[in-house]
Amino acid sequence: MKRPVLQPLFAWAIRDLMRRPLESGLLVTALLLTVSVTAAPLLFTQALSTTTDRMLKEAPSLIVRKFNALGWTPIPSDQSAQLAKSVPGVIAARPRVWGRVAGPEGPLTVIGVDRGGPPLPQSTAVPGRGEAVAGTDVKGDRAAPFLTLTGQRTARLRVVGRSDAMTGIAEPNIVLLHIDDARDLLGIPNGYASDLAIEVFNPSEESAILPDLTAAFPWTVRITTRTERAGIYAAGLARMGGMTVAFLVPALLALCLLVAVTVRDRFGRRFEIGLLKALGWTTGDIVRLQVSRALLIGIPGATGGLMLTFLLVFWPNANWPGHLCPEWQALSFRLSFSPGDAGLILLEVTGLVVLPFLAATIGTVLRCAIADPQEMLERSNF
Amino acid sequence: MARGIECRRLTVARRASDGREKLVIDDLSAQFETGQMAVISGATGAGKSTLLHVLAGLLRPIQGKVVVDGEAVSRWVSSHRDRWRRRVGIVFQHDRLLGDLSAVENVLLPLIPRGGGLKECRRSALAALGRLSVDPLTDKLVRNLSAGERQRVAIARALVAQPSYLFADEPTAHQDHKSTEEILKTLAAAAAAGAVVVVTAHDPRILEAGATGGRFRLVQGRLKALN
Repeated sequence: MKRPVLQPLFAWAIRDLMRRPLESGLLVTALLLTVSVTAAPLLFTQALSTTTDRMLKEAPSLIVRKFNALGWTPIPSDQSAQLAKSVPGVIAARPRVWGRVAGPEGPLTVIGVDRGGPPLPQSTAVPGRGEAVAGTDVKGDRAAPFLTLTGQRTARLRVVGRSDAMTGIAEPNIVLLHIDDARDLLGIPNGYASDLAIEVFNPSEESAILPDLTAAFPWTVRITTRTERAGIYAAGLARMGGMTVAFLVPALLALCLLVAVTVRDRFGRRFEIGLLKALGWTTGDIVRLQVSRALLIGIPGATGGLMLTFLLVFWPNANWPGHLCPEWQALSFRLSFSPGDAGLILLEVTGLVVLPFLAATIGTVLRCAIADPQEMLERSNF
Repeated sequence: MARGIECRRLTVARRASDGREKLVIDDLSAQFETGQMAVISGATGAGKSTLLHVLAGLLRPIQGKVVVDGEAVSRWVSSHRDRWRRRVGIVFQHDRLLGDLSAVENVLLPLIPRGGGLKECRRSALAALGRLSVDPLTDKLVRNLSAGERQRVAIARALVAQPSYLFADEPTAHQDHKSTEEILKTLAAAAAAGAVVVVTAHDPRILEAGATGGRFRLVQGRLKALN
């Protein structure tokens, strides 16, 4: 007759954990923190890599800015676009109007858009005069749905939509405005733009085209290539890789401690294992009980740890990791992740943390469970 | 139904406190019949508990064997001896209860891996406690019980799975006259239901009453039948 073993055994595993609630709670917490400390840098680095790859794909090949003796200055829109297009290899040149202004809760990045500009995602409305489409992280005025922005002048705009459309501009808290509103706020005269975004025919020509492009403008310009921007991101990623190792070392030490405590606990309970065997429990029953116990600790610990990691990395405005990267005082964009890569990291963390914990539990119990029960009852000095 | 349990030329050695191996049971042969209660007496340290532990599959003899239904169960590999212990109920000399569990939880322990629902297991455990008149103590933590109460809970634990082989080491320790009678009746009932019951005792009340399967004395590692 087949016995429905799992149900009472699993219930007993819960009861067994409740015999030492503090110890069980501490074990879950320790596992949660170990998983979190291990997974956070891995997930963050992965998310950063995915996000920067995506941003670089959406960003223009080259960005041209005009400078004078005082620094950055607006660039004439039509003239600069025509000059850029005259350079062989350039297939498109688009003046962009964007810049930083003060919002209700700190600096915001406004981007001017118009109906003749590059298409926005279908779900994103093109704002008219006096309107704004704000990123989901941007908080409006208390009297919603308005947003008061202060640049060269102050404007109160009606928020007509929310969107996290990637604009190719790596800046936080983006607000899309009508291009004329953006010019007003930023103090950019009509016919001028903040910079010029250029697409080239062959991405490998980005660097080769630079001398001709620089020479094409009758004023001083600074040109940034996609490769240079990728280099900045790569430096950040490399630093994060180093930070990951720095995080993993204490995490692995904590894991060793966790495994040692688990082994010691299992050996400390030899008496109980001996007693259960004397009362008719088989080695398989005892292993099932201990696996159930380990899962009751491991599943909430690992799940909680991964949830905490996810919040740490992807929580809106969770820009703490940006401070670890050179060139980024704050992480200036919302991170994204690909489910495949995130799943791989979950598997890695499970392998790194949860499996040693389970192995410590099962291995120790197996060693005890194959001994003679009387030997375990006597050696435990109960 | 089991037909009894036989010891054939059993020899068991245990490590003494000075670290040396000492023969506790020496070339012992005996037969304990189904449906009867055998009682073994002997001086302290004579090896009574060790003999019960070998019969119950908790210890292995260095020579000889324990035979049940023609099978040398003491020579079975570990996983098969697990199955043998499932047919056995044992009462330890020192109750071996888990003090931080209640009486009923301790009695539940042998039932948990045997399947069935938790409610059914609890019902069986309560019935076993009731047979030993400790049902009012059901939900009390064992560490708060008296020695006599603990011993009765331990007997209930041994009986709860209705074992075919019951080995009880000093089951009437710490008991008054009424409780002793009740325990003897319970053990006799288990034997009458078809179990092999082997009891070790110093208690003359056990030696005098109900030893339907014979009375033995363990001396120098061997059993001698008493008239």
